[in-house]
Amino acid sequence: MRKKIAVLIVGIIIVISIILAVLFKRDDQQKIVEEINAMNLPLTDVGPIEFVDNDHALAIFLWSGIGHIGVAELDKTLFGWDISRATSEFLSGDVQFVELNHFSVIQTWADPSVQDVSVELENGVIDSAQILIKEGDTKKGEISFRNWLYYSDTEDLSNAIVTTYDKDGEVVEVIEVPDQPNEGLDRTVE
Amino acid sequence: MKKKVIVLGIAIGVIVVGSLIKSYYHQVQEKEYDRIRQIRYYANVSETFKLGSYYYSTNDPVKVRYYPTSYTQYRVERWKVLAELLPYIEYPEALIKENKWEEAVRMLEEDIEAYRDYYSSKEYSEQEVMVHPREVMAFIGDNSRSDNVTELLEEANFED
Repeated sequence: MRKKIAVLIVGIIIVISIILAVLFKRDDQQKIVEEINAMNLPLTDVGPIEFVDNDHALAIFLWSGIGHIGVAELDKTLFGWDISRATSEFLSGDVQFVELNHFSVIQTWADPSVQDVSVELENGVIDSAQILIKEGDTKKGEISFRNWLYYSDTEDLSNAIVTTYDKDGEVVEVIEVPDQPNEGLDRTVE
Repeated sequence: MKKKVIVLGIAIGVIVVGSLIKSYYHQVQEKEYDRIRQIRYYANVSETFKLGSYYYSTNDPVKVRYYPTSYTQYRVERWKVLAELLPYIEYPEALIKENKWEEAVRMLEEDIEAYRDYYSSKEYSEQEVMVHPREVMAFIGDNSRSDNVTELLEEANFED
């Protein structure tokens, strides 16, 4: 009799834990959004997330309404994701060129007409950048993102030339990447 | 009798363990509030001077480094001119040259406090033509100008 009750209790505990685990299961996307929100910057809006591989991700985010734009690099941990580096700057619409923990990243808004983005590195290598889209829920005051993003953990992205094309293959814009990442962390004012 | 002792023992045990857990969570929460305060303060500094921020760590302790953007210069110019025109307001050139913005902004806040005391010590008739302490940050950060600020700037031939 006692044994039966013990088995029953263990059984109930297992069933409840499975139900809880299923109910509160969050995917990587949600965990990354939570991690960036946990920085507690005023009015954070997490944009598109790029999963580089199983253990690394890059996320674009805005804070202060649309005042500042940031890029965060995240590493996967046992239970979630952890920001290893993050950077943000005053939103100007210029290309953002940042060096994070493992990756160098260039990104900025993609005009709605832009369909293709090609990146020519200083060493002559030509590659294409992705256009990342995240539809924001306007009811929640979220912003929709459409950004192009290119990253590398081996190549130097300084002085790269980025060319954006529309659907007819016409050039929309030619963007020169600065020679220093992070707007030059050592730069000072006059 | 024995039963009573066991029940009492369990009750005390539950209370002790419960309060330990509670005080532990309280500490964790306090720490989290501190972290959030710190991040908010950093955000405010970079917001006021339109600085870029580079976070080496977003967990406790928060580690961030600032760098000026092209919009920072205007704010610095406005700070400099006020330092020349108002008593107690100083422009910490060395700190800013080293991008020690957090310290520089703390100093500005202290200077504004000192200027506020000076302002309060004046007669009402004098205060009317003085720059209000509140306007110092508003002018540096947002270029908002009251009549008194405009007049002061005109006298000093400040151009932006």
